[in-house]
Amino acid sequence: MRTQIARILLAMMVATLAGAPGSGAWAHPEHGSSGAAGAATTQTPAERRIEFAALVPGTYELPVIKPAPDGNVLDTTGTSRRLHRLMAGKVVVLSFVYTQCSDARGCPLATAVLHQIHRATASDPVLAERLKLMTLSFDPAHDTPAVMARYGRPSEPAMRASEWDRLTTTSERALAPILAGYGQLVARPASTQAGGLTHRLRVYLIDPQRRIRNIYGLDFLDPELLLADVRTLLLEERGRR
Amino acid sequence: MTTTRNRHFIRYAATLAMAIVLAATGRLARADETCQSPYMPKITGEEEFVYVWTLGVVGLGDGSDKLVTVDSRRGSPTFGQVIHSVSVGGRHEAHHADFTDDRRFLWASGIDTSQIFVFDVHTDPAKPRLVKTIDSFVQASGGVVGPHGFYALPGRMLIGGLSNAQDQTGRTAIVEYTNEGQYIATYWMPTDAAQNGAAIEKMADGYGYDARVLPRKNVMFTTSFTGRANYMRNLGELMQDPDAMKRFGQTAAVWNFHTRQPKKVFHMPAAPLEVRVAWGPTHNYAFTSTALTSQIWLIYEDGQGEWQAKAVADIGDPKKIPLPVDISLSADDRILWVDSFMDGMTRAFDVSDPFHPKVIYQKQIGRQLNMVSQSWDGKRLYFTSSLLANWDKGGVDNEQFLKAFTWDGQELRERFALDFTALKLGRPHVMRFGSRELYRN
Repeated sequence: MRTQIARILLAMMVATLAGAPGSGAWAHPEHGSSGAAGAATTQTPAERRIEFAALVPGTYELPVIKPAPDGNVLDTTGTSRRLHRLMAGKVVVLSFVYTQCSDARGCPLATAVLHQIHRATASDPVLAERLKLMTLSFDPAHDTPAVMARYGRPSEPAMRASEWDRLTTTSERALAPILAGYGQLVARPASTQAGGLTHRLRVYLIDPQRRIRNIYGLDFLDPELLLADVRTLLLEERGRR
Repeated sequence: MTTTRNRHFIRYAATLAMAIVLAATGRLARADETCQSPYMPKITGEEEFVYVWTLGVVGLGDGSDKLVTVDSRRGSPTFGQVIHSVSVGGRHEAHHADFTDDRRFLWASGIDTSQIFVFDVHTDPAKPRLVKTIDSFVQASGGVVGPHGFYALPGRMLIGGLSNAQDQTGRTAIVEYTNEGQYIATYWMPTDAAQNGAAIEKMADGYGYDARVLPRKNVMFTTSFTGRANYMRNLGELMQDPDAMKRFGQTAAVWNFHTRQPKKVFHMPAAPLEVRVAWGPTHNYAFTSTALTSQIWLIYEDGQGEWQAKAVADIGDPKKIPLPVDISLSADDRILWVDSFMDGMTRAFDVSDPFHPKVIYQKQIGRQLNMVSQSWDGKRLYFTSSLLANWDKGGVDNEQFLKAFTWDGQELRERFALDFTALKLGRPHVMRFGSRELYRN
């Protein structure tokens, strides 16, 4: 019950993070808003439910999907980095977003989930040390290092929580091979109207060997489920030592 | 003055402009649109093209399995016609096909040779291109034979097998591949000897057929058919072989989808085939039909949160073995279309009360009948005839067709019909819809 309430509260929190209401249906149709006349009403964030019991870490396996691609990125200071170096042998949760997204069920939701995970690591030293969160923008024209520095910044930055890298790239050209490698398609409209990018919401779980171990779509983007997967990988790592 | 052609164009463009939506994941509204993975964009308006994965026939045309494209655009000068065809070379027992989660590629399989053909359907949806052939499925998967159904997951494809390389029975597995065509993992169906943690209602035969997911409940449903030794054999001979006839699936299973672990194996005689999961946000159930006992079965979550299964209706007269095959559930969960092969009938069941389906309409579509696909709005249905090359009827009963209908809630009315034999194409099987609007920015 408490878990259900927490999940609903998380969904409602998204509305706050999202800022503008989810009117960007056409700007972000991939996130599930229906533009079809006469279609059933869309499912608002407050209605979104995940109705299954929490998973027990270590009781299941996460097969290797493929190597996590590398690439050149910029951190919030504008310093050029390599993705693989930033992964630094940790378990990584990587989310692709753009900061002007106005769809509460899209990028803001992914960021809200990462916030939830970030908070959880503050009370778990192992998670704090072994997990890294990464948010990478696919809108380098707008999402400069300075913009990314402000995006989704934790409200309590002094917490002993896991590292959270907010990243961007120098250009669409630099970004393209990263998106292609992760299978993250992004469609850019002809106009320069904000909030006009279209993409499939995906979050990636990457192990310390830089291999993708899970890919989450909207339906499984749940902090408890993600944490169970993270802990499963950490148990796996411990078992290898 | 607006000409007739312009009025058609305007109406068509308006319909398309209103209707095309790239739905996100989840059981939202929001088409065979109703039978596909919830992780995939949906065509909620009008489909432009129907892709028909077709078995080649010796001596007919090029004799090859092929992906046929039919124009279904109202007002198009080629409406109701075959506008493109791409042959893959050889006969592989073309069976089922489905899209990747980005709907840019269509994966289609041959259940005889176990080859998988990947078509690019996004560059030019009117002219799909074969871009990849996976011929290492059996080896990579550890002996799974007959890749049958494809189910899109984020970045991956879930592929249900039908058989195995060791004994050609229905013992099989589910296999995962990346969208790029790389093998990931194999999950063998539970058996009595290797239950893998599943609760077994009566027996676990390890057979497989279809796999569908209800993400909200973290469950996957699988069903069971028969192995390559049976499905590639002449049906008449097969039915005279009592031992072979025992080797049909008797089970359906519910799995913890995220962990890919089976939870429960139901006893479901015999040969439950297609699974269709309800769409409603509180509808925790799925339908299947048993081919050899002609029943609709309901798999549902009970009041205690446990999954159960029960037979809820007969299909036709089971004593006559109509052989129900494909089913299709409307997007509002109200109508379940059930096709039966032997009598060529389609039956519409009102499943508003899923525990008490009632036939509200039926029509004979042809002398034999297999697949049914419906648009998301339920107003258009498409039917094809072929089941398996060695099971299709002979002589004059061997009609091979694609027939398209409108459905107004009362009557099916034919829009167009294509004779795949006369067109020298082959035996039409699964259908999937395409639209250029899916790939515009």
